[in-house]
Parts: sequence; C-alpha cells; structure tokens
Amino acid sequence: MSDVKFLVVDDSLTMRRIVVNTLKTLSYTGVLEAVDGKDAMAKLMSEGADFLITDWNMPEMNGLELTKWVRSSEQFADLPILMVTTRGNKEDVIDAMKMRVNNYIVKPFTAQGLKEKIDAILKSVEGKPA
Amino acid sequence: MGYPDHTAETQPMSMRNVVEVLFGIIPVLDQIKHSIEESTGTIPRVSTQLSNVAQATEMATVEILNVLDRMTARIGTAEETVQQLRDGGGNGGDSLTSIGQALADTRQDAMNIAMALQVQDITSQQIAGVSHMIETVRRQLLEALGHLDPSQVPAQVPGQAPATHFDVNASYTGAGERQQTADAIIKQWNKVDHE
Repeated sequence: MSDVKFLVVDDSLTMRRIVVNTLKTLSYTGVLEAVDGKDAMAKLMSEGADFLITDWNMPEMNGLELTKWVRSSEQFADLPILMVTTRGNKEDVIDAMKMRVNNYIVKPFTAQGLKEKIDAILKSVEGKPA
Repeated sequence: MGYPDHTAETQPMSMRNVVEVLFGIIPVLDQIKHSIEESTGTIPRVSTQLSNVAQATEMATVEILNVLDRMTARIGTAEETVQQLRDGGGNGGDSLTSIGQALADTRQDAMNIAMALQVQDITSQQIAGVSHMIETVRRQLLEALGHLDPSQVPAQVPGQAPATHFDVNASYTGAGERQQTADAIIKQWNKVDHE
C-alpha cells in the first residue's frame, strides 16, 4: 500500500503540511504537492499520481473544476479523488458527488478520519475490475 | 467690499423648474440610500465573522494547551521512571513498557496538535471573507459618493478577489456533524449508484 503516489492539492501551506505529515505517519512516502488546480494539472501531466487529495476553494482553478478535468481526461479518468474541504453543506457534498469524487472529508479532520477515507477509497478501487 | 449683486442676471425659478430638479435629485438620493443601506447591512456580518475567527482560534488554542498539559504530565512520569531505573529500583520490564507507552502516547498527542493547527486554514478563509465584505462596503460607499461628487471617486477601483477562493462559512466547530451528513449522503449516493 505504501507505494501509492499521492498528489495533495491545497492553496494553504499549513494544510498541505498537515496532510503530507499524516500520510507519512501512515507510511505513505510518495507525496507530491500542488498549490491549486492548475498546478495540479501540470503535476499530473508531468509526474503522474495514483491518488488525488484536493481542497475545494482555491484560486486559479478550484477542486471541483480540477475534478471535472480529471474525470474528463482519458489518462486520469479513474484516478481516486478525496475532496478535503471546509464546505460541509448537503448541497456541497451532492455537487462534489455529481463530479464523481470518490469520497469527501470535512475540515478540521482527524488523522484517523483521513486514514479511514483513504483506506475505503483504496479498497473500493482494488475491488473494481481493471 | 460687498458681495457682487447678481440679482439682475438671475432668472427666478419657476415651480416647474423646481419640480424638474427634484425629479432629477430623487433617483440619485434613492441610489445613495440604497448603497448606504447595503453597506449598513454588511457591517454586522463582518462583526459576526470576526467573532468566528476569535472563537476558532480560542478553541484550537485551548485544545493545544490541553494536549500540552497531558504531554508535560506524561513526560514527568516517564522521567521519574527513568530515575528509578538509574537508582536501581523498580521492575525493569514494566518500566520500559510504561516508557514505551508514554512515547507512543506523546507521538499521538503531537499528531493531535498538528491536526488542531488546521485552524490556520479555517481562520484565513474566515478573514478572507471579512476582507471581501469590507471591500464590498467600500465599493457601495464609493458608489454613493460618486452620486454626490464624482471627482472624489478614483478612476480605477482595484479588482476584488472572487468569493470562490475561500469558504465564507468555514468553521472550526461542528465538523463531526457535517462529516456525518456528508457520510450519509455518500452512502446513499453509492447505494443508488450500484442499484
């Protein structure tokens, strides 16, 4: 499991550090970072990733727009996506699910909460036929 | 020296002229009133938003201080255990187990402190919301000022950051409930999706 390559997208340096440190504690060492959706697109194209963890509200390109781009791209259409955001309204969650994020976590989250969401996504992805 | 006498040049204003002038002024006054009302309505929201920032930082700080208190107490106990071992007292195996547990708990507490620092992201979004509201008020007041004296309004008003860059409703409290709501929606969504 620990060879999964994560791309963590958040305009907040603090949040990126918290997510990256939590991933390292969970023995995931392959982690890339991006400051917004556009940066994430560039990182995906140049370096690739196995798992996307993205914030919603960001300048340039937000997490929902990034998800839309990922799902419509041939190369990354099946990339697991975890949305990590302060937005916790029913409508927000529905909008994110319509864009086909795999799961959704509300900030502030716990390390255990993040682990459970990642595990659940990886389990569901492993269960799918190639 | 007295004031110049323009009496001879000034035409008396007819009632019709007065009504025409008033008809021109009333919409302007309405627009000024509208701008001021909107500005006044925004100010309490700014105040509430700033209270949210203060509340979030206080909650996170208390959380961190509580964790630090626990860590300090645990380290004190571990130091006593180490001292007992140095003095040749106590059960070596039990002491090592308790020190190992203290280290594991301290690692967990360090993680809890890191998690509490998510408050920085949340408050920065709340403050971005405050800045957005203040900028909105400034624009409304400039609009009102423009009706009175256009020369006082700068030709170029700097652009405002779109409200999509931050979540004005970001909150440090109630994440558990919001997560439960999100989980319930996702569960239902996946159930329908698989059927």
